[in-house]
Amino acid sequence: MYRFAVLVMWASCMSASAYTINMSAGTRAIYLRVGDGLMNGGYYSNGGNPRSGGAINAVNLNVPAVALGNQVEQTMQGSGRLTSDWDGYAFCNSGQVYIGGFFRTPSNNVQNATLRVTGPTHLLNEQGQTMSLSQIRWTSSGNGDTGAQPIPDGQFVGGTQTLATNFLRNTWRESCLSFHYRNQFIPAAGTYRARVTYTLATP
Amino acid sequence: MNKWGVFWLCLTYALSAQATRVWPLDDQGTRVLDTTLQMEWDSWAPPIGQPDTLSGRTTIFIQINVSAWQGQPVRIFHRCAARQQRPLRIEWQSHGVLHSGSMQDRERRLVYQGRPTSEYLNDIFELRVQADGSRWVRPDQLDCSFELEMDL
Repeated sequence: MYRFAVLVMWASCMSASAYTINMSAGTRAIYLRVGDGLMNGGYYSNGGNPRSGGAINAVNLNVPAVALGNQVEQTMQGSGRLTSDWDGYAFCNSGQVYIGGFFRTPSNNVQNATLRVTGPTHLLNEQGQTMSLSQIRWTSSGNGDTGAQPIPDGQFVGGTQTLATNFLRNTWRESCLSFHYRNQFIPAAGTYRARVTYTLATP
Repeated sequence: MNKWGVFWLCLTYALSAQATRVWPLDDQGTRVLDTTLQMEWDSWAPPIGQPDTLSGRTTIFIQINVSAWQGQPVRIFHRCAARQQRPLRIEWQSHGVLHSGSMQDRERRLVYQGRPTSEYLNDIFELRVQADGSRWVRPDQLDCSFELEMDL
């Protein structure tokens, strides 16, 4: 009887198997918010998710006639939400423009997404007269932050500019930009407009 | 220790080593519901100051052949190991005779203790696999099995 049991057990051992689960590599994702952004379900820390959309935000300035071209910089006024979508923290101050995002990939390598801005070389007024976009620069900050900002200070030059190459995978990057009109020339009268587009690209 | 001491020590060790035996179990009837378990980020955005993890879920129809041990007191363990990447955390919620549990890969957990009353133990596992997002870089496979332990 004992031998029989051993044989049965041995036979069972011979037919032993294992089940196998195939697992994917994991998803990649990228997100960028400039100014406003839309969320579903509250902040990230409460389980909210971002969704596409939101207003295209404007940065405006009315220059008094007496100050035109006097070389004294004028601070422009941005619009859009000032809070971080992580937890609602008031990261930016009134007049600033929030820019933040992240790049997600399952990886153990150093991989960075790159933030760029693309725009025309000139602003145009109603009569088609131009003003160099380089008349606008920005400074970067964030309430509660110390040290260098993810998006450094800069100045528009037209075309495509690289603003940051250090959006390290799986980290949150955000800054608040304050725009300034350099006021170096006396332009023709009018309202000058231009649109710039920010792009976050993965490697 | 004299030579008789060594002899008795070896004899005791030999007897105790034979006191418990382990057999891999036939689970050829087990089926994984999904062809591929999709690993998704647990947090939509990178969490601040918390582990950044990926998880995937699937359902497994478990069938273990215990015909050779019907009526005998046995312990059955669940064991899983990833082929290439680790660490992994594995959790499963059972719906039948087997215990729910969790473990790191390459560990084992007790899922049954008793005397099987039928040839097969059947159950359904809702299984979740969680990996570190900074280490999980490619598709992989998780091999799981059951082994039976019995005191002789």
